[in-house]
Amino acid sequence: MRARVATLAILAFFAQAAAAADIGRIKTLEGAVTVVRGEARLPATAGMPLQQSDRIVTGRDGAAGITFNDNSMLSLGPETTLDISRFSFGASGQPDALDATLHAGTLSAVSGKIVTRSPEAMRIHTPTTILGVRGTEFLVKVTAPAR
Amino acid sequence: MKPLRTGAAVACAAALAGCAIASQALAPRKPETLVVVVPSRVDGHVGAVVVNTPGGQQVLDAAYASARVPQGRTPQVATLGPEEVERSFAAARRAAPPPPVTFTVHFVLGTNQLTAQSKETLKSVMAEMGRRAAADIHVIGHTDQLGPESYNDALSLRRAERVRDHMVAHGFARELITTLGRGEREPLVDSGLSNPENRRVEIIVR
Repeated sequence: MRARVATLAILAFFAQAAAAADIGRIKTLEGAVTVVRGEARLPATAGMPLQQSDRIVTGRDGAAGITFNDNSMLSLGPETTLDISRFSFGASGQPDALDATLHAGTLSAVSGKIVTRSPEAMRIHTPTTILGVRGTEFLVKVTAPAR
Repeated sequence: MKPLRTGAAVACAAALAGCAIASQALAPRKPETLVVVVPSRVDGHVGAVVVNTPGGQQVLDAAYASARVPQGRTPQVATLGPEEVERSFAAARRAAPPPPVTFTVHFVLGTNQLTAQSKETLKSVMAEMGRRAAADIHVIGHTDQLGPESYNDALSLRRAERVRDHMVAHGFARELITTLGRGEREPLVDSGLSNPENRRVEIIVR
């Protein structure tokens, strides 16, 4: 039992260490943009490093561009909510993957080395579809239901 | 548009069984996705995106090929006009970061010294940094395919760190540089041998 608790503690530690690694940075910024990281709501800044599980939210006049460690790029237009659900690149024993979820708004995307090496390892999830990316440049817009 | 909807509603009342489409058109807006494949701004290359829905797959692989994906319905595929696309996505496209640029440097064989050409390359790296807002640098070491993988992993990281130190000594900000060692996993030339071309350090300016 004690061993199992210890194992869990170690696993939790590694999960946290893995999650805390920088996966890319905010490169361009316009208007109000917030990074939601766990319980924290951080005002985005140019050059800010991002982590797996971050949510990026842009305001009515907001826009932001992200460059990931594999050279993938995602940029968000106004009133957009994007989760970086998973990012893994070049980690030993782990397949490369970029999973992002667009809940609402507009996204401009350019694939990077993850897709060059394993097509469709980059996926954009939306409320109505999952997009498997085989290459290069594309745009996505999600119109959310009226509230 | 309006008379059409009214017509649909009338038809709906007349034949309740066949009104699924009409009722969706009149219902409160449901989430909808629009995806458009566009030519690369860098080289005009047109890639492909696979649209997965419970009903199946649709591959978009032409310039301005698009799919509209309403909830629970079949994607509607169409080719859009570039101006229409630009209007809908102007802000997101304007926010696109400048594409990363990769430079490669080499050591003089059997030494810790960068080649003369590589020292020139570092000047270009510095110039590229100056052109960008919020730039950062990844320095990635690589080895040839000779020797054990673990040894090459360590060696490639040492190579990257050596380049980093050289850069810092020449005025680059240390906190903007990330060093990585990829060992022999990303050879330029997959010869399985000792190939000097594979002993290199990549500098990526983002």
